[in-house]
Amino acid sequence: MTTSRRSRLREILTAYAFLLPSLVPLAVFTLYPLANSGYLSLVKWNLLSPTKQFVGAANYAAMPRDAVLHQVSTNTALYTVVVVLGGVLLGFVLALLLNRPMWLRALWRGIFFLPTVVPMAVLSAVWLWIYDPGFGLMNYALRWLGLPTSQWLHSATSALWAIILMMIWQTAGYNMVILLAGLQNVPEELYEAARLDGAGPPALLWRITVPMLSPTFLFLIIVSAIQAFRVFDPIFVMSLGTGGPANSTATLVFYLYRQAFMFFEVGYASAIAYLIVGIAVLFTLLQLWLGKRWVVYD
Amino acid sequence: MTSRAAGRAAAYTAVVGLAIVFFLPFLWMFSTAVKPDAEIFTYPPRWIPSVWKLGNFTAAWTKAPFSRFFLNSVLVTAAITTLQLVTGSLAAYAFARLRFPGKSLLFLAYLSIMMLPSQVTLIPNFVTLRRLGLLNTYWALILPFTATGFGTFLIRQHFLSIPQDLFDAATVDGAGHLRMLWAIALPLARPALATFGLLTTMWHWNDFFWPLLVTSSIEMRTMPLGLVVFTHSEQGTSWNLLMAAGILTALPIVVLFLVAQRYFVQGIARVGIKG
Repeated sequence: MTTSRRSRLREILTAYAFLLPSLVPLAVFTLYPLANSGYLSLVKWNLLSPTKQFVGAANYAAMPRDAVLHQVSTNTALYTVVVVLGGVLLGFVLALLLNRPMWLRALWRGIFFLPTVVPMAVLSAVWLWIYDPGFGLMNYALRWLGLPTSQWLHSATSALWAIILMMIWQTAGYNMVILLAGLQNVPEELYEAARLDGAGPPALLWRITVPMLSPTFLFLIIVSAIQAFRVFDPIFVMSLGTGGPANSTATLVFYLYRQAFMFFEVGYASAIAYLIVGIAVLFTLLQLWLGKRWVVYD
Repeated sequence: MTSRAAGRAAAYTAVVGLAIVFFLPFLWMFSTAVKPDAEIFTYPPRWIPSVWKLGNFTAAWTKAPFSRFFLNSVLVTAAITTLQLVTGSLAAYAFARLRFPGKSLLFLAYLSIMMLPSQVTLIPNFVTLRRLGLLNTYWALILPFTATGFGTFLIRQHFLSIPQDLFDAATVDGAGHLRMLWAIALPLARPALATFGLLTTMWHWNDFFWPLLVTSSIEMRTMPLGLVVFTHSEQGTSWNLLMAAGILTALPIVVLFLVAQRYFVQGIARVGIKG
């Protein structure tokens, strides 16, 4: 009895000893900041002064009146919706094309996947050059095709769309890999049975492939959305650190960065941080709720 | 039969066409990187320069202190990956094989941390590191990433699949938990460790935001940040040098990807989570 109790105590002590090296950093660099951000969102502070002025909910109350925040939120929403839908759709096309034995299949898959691996800062630099209005590849291609050219990143009407286009290219390969894995799990018998019933390729796609992949689609859309609405790297590099022209490419996270580390409005920036967490939580809840409602699980 | 052949031909055309479009930005990057200055701004653009100016790579490397950036990137990425593998394996073992009070609550905490957007921790972590006097040091680049909720979760799933008999046999031989982790669990979880190690290496090699925030002197910058030297320069952008520097920045991670493609793709397909 005493030995088993002693061994039980040993087990508990071992467990905590094993957890300690990760618990301490998680407490210091994740849990404490989560709580501290909440506190900071209730103060006015410039990051430097020794005192913080408590302002209650004033930082949150200021949000609806902040015209730039409105613009930034609209930018972020537009960016998220188009990049997610475009990236998933293009990824699906790629997955369908590659979901068969094919000559050099690994090479094609590798090419589509390559943008996922290369550092975002590098891709942003390349596309900065591609979008150069005078000598960039994009306008050259458009002229070659006889289409009108654009100022791309130099115009407030096109800059965000330029970044969106690049990010659809960047995210498609990742979506392709996940959807390819999903396609492998669709039982071949389903297709055979449907073919015997006389179903053509469009019916097979809409009646079998898409419904069977619905959990994968839901997962991808939510994960990509959580990823996309926090975009920062390409915005920073491609707008040369400005979010411009005229805030047209500034997103929520970029705005947080600017408020905190350029304008030193730490309280307001922390409130924006909480807004971002709130949106992420909302996406996650949406995933759980939708997952129960309309997704077909086998 | 002919319609099937036509379908195959259409599929090949689509795949090859899309692959060319997808790859063009990289070709353009490489083509620009080896161009002499005079051939960057030509119209129509020359895909193949009159002379291949491989000297651009050394010029880019020396225009900014890229040797230092490279060293910083290697050091920081290696330290983070090693630390996360160690702390993640230890925690994963506790969650998979030990019974202790508070286990399910703590596991839930690790899972939630995995989901938390990192933006909420930016400002407080910046302030903490400043208070500790660690801004603009390697500590600032490494310490916040010592532990990993995601890695813990991934490795735990793998540890759970190891048959209990193996551990029972070792217990009879008088092995302690540290010994069982080292001699049984870790060798059997090698694929999970490789997958996670590669993913975290990629994320932290590619990281841009955090180093931008906590480093201020040029000697502490990492490779992705080094590129900004070329884009934000006063005399306009030297596109050929920027592209050359970009290739050098991407090269280590692309080589790693090519060598270990299997683990990358499997890992991403199985867990489906990115940084």
